[in-house]
Amino acid sequence: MKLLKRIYGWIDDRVEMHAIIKKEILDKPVPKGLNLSFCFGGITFFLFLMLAATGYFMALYYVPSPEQAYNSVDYISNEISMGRLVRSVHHWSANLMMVAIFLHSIRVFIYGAYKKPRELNWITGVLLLLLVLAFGFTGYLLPWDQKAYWATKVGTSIMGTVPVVGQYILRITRGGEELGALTLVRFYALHVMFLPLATACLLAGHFFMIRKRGVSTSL
Amino acid sequence: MSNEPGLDRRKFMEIGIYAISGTMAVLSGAVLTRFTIGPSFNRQRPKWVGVELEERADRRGRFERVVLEYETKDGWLNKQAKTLAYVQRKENDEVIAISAGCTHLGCIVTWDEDRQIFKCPCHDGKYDAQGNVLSGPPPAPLKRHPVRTEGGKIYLRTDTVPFGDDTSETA
Repeated sequence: MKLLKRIYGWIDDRVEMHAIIKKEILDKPVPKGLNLSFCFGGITFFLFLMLAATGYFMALYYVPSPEQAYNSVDYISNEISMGRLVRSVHHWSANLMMVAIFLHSIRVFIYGAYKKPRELNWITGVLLLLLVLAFGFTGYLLPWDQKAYWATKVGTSIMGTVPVVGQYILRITRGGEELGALTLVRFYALHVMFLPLATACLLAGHFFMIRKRGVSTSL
Repeated sequence: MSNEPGLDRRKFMEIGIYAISGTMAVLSGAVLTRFTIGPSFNRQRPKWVGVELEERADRRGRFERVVLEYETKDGWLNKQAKTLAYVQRKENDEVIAISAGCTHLGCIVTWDEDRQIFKCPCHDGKYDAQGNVLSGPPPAPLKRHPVRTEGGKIYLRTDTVPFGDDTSETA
């Protein structure tokens, strides 16, 4: 303990962040006029952290190939200790995140908290909502079972019904005409590489702006 | 800090927050650690694998390369494992089977018939015909497969292979 304190102290002597963290985060007073409906944003972020933690670790076992995807998921769920728990936490966090992010958006809408000077919070928030939907859509394919396959078949076919550009969107999403290995691996790459990075960047902006402009509490 | 009288509300909340978040962190850390370890320490069940030796009189007392092939699990994959052994039937009908896995770092040793030694290509380890170390870095003699003969057929047990089986070895 004493050693940890000394190491922490040594680092903080140089970066001088402790006082700022204490003032701006740990000892920051909660604004007046808040109620429990203001928790949904934080709940969404907490669920995002749960999804990141469980997702990172499931990547130790999952293989994004048509031959192995289902078997590796089955292996996670049925062969590895804590595997079912880790995968279930990912599954339920994903479901609850949809609920939480919609409740958060509705609350912001009702309070009119998107108005000037908080438009950037609304814009990054809408983009984050779209990213969460993309996470859900790409993640749904990864177990490569019947439900995953046909849900993605239907989902990508819907993209194909967009006038004029539909067929281009469909082909780029599937990586070709047919749903297959190329689709699976690009959905995996989106799910674990591209979307998390984009989400982290937008979240940073979202949080920075809420600190900058403060929470809107007037109704 | 501790000799201050009582526990004010702020301090109580602070301790509570640290306790709750600490408990959550420790619990999830434990779950994810166990999940990461996963099957790392699972052992493959040793198997008895039947091998065929050439039944010629002049093969007696000489090593023959034998590839043991057996079913094994590689995670969720069913794998045909292959591992190399040098087997000889001595004049007195005793069968010895020396695993080709070098005890240094697991490369495959080859039998040099002319010089009557096992040589490892990786770091120049050398063993005699009994598998004892002659020179080089190997820390121990070559492992021997337990041998069982049943009705004239020879069976070798697979659990002696150092550093795992070697599927890149082709027959």
